Amino acid sequence: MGATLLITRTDLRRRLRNRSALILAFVAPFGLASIMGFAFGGRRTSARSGALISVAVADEDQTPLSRSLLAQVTSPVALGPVVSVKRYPTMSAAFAAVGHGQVVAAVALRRGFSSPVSGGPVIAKVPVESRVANGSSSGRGLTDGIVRGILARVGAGAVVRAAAGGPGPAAGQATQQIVAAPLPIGIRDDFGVGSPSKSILGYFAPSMVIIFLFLLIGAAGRSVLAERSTGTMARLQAAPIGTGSVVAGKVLSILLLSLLSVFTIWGATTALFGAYWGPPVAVMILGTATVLSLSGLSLFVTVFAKSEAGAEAATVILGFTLALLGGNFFPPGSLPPLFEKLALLTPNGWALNGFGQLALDARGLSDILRPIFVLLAIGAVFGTAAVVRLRQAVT
Amino acid sequence: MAVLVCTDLHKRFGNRTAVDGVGFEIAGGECYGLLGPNGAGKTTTISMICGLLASDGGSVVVAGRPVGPRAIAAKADVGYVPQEVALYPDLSARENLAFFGRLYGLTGKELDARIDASLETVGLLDRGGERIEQYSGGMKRRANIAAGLLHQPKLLVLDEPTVGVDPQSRNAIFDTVVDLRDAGLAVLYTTHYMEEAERLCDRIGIIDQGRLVAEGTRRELVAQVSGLDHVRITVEGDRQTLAARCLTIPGVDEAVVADGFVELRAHDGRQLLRQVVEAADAAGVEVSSIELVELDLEAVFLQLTGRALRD
Repeated sequence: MGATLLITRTDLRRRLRNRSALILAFVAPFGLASIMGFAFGGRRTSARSGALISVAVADEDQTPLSRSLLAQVTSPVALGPVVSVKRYPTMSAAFAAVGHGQVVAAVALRRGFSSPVSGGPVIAKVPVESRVANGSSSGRGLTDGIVRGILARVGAGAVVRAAAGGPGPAAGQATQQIVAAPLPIGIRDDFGVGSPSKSILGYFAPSMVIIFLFLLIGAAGRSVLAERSTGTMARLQAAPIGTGSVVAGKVLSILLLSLLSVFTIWGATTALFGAYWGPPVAVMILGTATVLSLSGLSLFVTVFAKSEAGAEAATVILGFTLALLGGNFFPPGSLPPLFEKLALLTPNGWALNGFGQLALDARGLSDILRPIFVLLAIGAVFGTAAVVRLRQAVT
Repeated sequence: MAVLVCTDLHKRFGNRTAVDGVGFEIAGGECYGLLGPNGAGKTTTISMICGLLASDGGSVVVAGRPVGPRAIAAKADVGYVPQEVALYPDLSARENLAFFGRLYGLTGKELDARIDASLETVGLLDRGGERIEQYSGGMKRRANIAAGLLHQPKLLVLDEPTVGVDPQSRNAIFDTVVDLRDAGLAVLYTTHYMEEAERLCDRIGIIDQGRLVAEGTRRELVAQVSGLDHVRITVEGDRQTLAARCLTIPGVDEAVVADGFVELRAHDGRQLLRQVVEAADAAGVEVSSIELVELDLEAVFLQLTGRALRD
């Protein structure tokens, strides 16, 4: 154990002296996160200009009540600056927009929607329908909030009407007051942690860190392999320590540097930009699972490459391919349905799923157990294979 | 008493036999040269001696303890200086030595003292705080040796330590090796430079294609190849007649006629010079020079393996 920690400590010291490692671990991800911090932080008051999520609405009822409600729904005050609303004439058109990936969710008021409130025939089923893009947690949360808000008003209106003994001036006035009240939805309130832009940064900051983790871990893995040609690996083997200590020391230093990268960027974006990544314990566990997963996969690709140049190329290609598939370059919930599915074939897709739930949906640790489990499983499978191979390479 | 005893070492990589029955011993205070061309099996042999590679057969014993990849404690008796500069370039020499010293269990003041002593031995005491990447090639090589000495091993293994080193640094390394040998260390020195082996090594093992084809002091090796001296007579005139007359001299076994000279293979050639001059007079040829040619290791290697040392 002493030899393992000694090797880890020396490796970390060397990596922290290495400028390229510092750039990959801290400067580049923090730089990108900072740009996003300034971008989102500076636009907090400019409503639509910072919109990242689009939701569709369709009003087939076309009554004063339905129009009034939808006006509330489209209010920037209600939804915050990150949500833009697109209007469609029919429910089918709105739902098609979801299918085409143009919006993350759609809410439609069907004909007869106003009937229970305005005195028309009472219907058994309130005609509000919604559709959410597959896997879009932000779309699901947004739709739930909108629909619940609408139904609450419809129900309240029906109660007022019943209390007034049926349609009449008193019932009509009370109904209008209910409709005019602010909707109890809005990302700002849902998060309960501050500005929505801060939560978006809480999503994008880990997203950027993940991209550079691929490169960082790949470079670190290659440097271990390079020690074979520089002779230091032979000198380590000649020392009175086991091969397991050498491999464990090297891998541990890579993991610690990666964790240091993630948590430093977390702390910096939180302190400087007020970004909200999620509950600290959940972020730490998810961040650790992410590092283990990406380390396993990157090391696997690195140590099975036939040359250092091949390993470098493979790491870069893998990193950017997975970043594209996993959605690192896109706003949350904006991927087409097919890509939403493909994203869950990648470790970074699962990591972003978890970070998105924490930062955007105000979820907690218990809600992200599945992403954590998947990440750990990926890390265990690829990491074990990589360590076995690394051990062979060392000996 | 032998510090290193390796016996009948074998190692195969797939279908290729890298080391085939190599065995030799080195005593304390002795420098043993393992001489052979690139690919002869030198590095594989020392990898097994240092416990980096498991042998397929045979044994290595250092200071009475068997050495192998799993014989961890026994590795402490071996100091290994790889062919490459096996130090971290982004750390100083002191930091490198401290790291490797701790791996050998050295700590505190003892570690500091050993670092100072090792750096002083290789003449780098005043430059120990500089990063390895700032050193010249020769300084890097000397720091490389210091790392092998740090834990005071009983056997020091140097794998071609002078490759790519300028003459001045090479001499400094030679002086260091001689001092260490004189201090009682057993030294295993691999090289493909015969002049290094001749200068430094008390005994030399010639390795070729994985086999130790000869072993001994330089004089013993020459004697193993041939007990005959080579006497070269450069002459003007009938060299065939001279060769025929020389063959009548007792002790001359062979006379080879070449372009411009006749070369004799003879026992104790130094004692035959007067008779050779008389034979030349009798043959009516004019002698320009008579030269007693002693075999060097290059020639020994050529005769033993049929190949030049640097093939």
